[in-house]
Amino acid sequence: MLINMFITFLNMSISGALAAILLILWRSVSYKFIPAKFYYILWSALIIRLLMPFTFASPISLLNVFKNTNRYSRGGRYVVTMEYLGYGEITDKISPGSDAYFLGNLALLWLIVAVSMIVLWLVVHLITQHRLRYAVLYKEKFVEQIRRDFSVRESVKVFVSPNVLSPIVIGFFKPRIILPKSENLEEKDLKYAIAHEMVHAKRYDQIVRFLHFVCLALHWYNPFVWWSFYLFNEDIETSCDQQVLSVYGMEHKRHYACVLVEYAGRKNSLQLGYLSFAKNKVAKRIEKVMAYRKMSITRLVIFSAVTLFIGFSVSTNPVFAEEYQYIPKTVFVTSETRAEITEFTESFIADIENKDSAGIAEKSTADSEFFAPVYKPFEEDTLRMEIDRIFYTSEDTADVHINLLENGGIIFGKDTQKLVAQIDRSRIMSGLYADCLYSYEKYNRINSIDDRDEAVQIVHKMIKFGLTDGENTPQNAPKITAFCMDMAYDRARDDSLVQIPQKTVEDIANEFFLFSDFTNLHKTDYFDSKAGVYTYEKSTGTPYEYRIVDFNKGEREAVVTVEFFKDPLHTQVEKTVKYTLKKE
Amino acid sequence: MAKIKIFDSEMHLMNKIWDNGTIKAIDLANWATENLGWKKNTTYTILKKLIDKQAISRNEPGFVVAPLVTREEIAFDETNFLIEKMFGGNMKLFLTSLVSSQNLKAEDIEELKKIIERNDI
Repeated sequence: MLINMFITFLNMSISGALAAILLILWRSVSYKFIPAKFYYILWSALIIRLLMPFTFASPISLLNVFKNTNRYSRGGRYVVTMEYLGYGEITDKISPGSDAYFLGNLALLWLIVAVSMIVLWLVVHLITQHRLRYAVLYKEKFVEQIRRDFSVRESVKVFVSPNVLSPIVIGFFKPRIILPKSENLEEKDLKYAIAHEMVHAKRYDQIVRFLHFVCLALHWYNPFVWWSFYLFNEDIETSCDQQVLSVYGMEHKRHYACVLVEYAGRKNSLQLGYLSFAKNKVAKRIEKVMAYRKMSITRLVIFSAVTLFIGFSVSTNPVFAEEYQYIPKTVFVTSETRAEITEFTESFIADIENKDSAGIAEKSTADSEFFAPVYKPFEEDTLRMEIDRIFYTSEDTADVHINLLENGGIIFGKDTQKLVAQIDRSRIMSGLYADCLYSYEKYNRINSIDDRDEAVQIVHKMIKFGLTDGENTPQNAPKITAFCMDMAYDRARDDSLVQIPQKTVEDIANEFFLFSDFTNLHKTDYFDSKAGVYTYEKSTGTPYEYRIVDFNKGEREAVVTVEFFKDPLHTQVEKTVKYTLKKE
Repeated sequence: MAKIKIFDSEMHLMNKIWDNGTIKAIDLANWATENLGWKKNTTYTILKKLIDKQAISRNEPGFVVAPLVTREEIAFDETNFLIEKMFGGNMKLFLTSLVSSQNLKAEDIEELKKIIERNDI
């Protein structure tokens, strides 16, 4: 679970980095032409992108540009290096032969650093609050005037304390402005500092900063996030400066800059949410203050529109790609299990190589006599294979990648060079068994099909009740009846033995099989003609060895391709059936 | 000499107590909220510290506080402390710096001279 979360955030980090680059570029081009507060939108979009794994899909999303190489996953772009195959390559570079453990440790490290950062922030915050608990109300009249000029709410109060060196705002929901205790600043200078802090308080900047810091903590390894943090802080300050000047008037620029210089010399020891407070940062601020002027309307409109567009496209996901890559579910697995699964797999491969069809059958099911003939083809040609990598997906399951060294194509298909064996313990036997053995291409196709899709679920149900060819025939009426009853039961969601009205079954038969006159066709033991009801009993249906190997969905139609197998290992295809489902 | 150290935050309350003579703690707390922006708990915390230091006394009924030291005593302590710290205990140095930094009118100088003679510093 932790690893999944980590991978999700990793993905978000990468797409966030791309977005950040775009924003930084745009900002460096446009900052002379738009007020800094517009960048709030951009940076907020970035924070949303970095904090929330799910965002809205939109056609104009940035990531549509990368669509061809994109694999859909939660949180945005899926890292190519984390592709199912490539995952093995990463672990190989660091420690040959390791697997889930490496990723698990990395995820743990990520979490520890992230949590420590946030805890540290909170501790610093609490300490600062404690240090400022005896700050005293600053009751000068001009404060009220400032509050009115900037429409700041009443709950923002101004205090004085000897424990700060320059004015700060502290507190999330009831922000307090704390001024330093000093004799040499008069009202006309102080008013700029207070106005500036008031704008911060009015905009809830402390909360914004905290959210941004949480982003930083969760993406601490991403230098673009740090860079954007630095720039965002700059923009927050600049936009406050600009707001003060726009309310008081441009003629106050010089005086304002002087007040900035005055406070520049003193640095607070505990600056929440700031990183370093370098001297040239203040110089930059002064520069920007002095450069601030009213902009032409047309320019403003154009640049703002582009900014909004960028902000929107950056924060949304691409329209869902049609196929998405299987995401490995790796968890911590005990070394005993690893040993067990490895041993089993080696024995399984040895059986295949040694043409021991009884052994193969036994490892896939208990009934070796029944299935032994199925594995006869393995006996006729000399196969050689080796284990490439084992992906332990849980304590009971594993996916084994197998390299075919000799003659694989003859049995599994031309050009097949890699197999995937699924090893399982959970269902049929108490020991391990091989659930299936596919070519790598087929395996990927199968795993990219979403079992939750409505069309796929319908096909599963059809197969369960034995509808495996020529559905619309009268001979299939009993099977169709069973199918319809089960469908009615699912829709009604009733947990007891149910009486399903005749009409309901007929409607469903018409809905799925276009039987307009089902009444005349059904012949079944479940039907009570006098009462006009079917008595439903939940059944397990007919077991088949099958897999859905292809799925194409259009707007009105879905085609589900199913392969039926002669054996539990799914190596011998009995027949291929295409189910076409149409929607009104 | 009272030899009690009063901190800046406590000084605010002491001044109010001195101004009033005695005052109910609740009134003091309300005054502090109104004028200093302190929560009630903050005021009561400081009052407790002052009581422990024996700078003020607590009287029932009704949690009434009264000063146990005078303003002059505390001022004296603070001044001595300052002189110790800045002028190494040298009173003459202190007075010199005080006088030279202020703009004193002739009558002020006269009055100062009288005080010095009276107190034989």
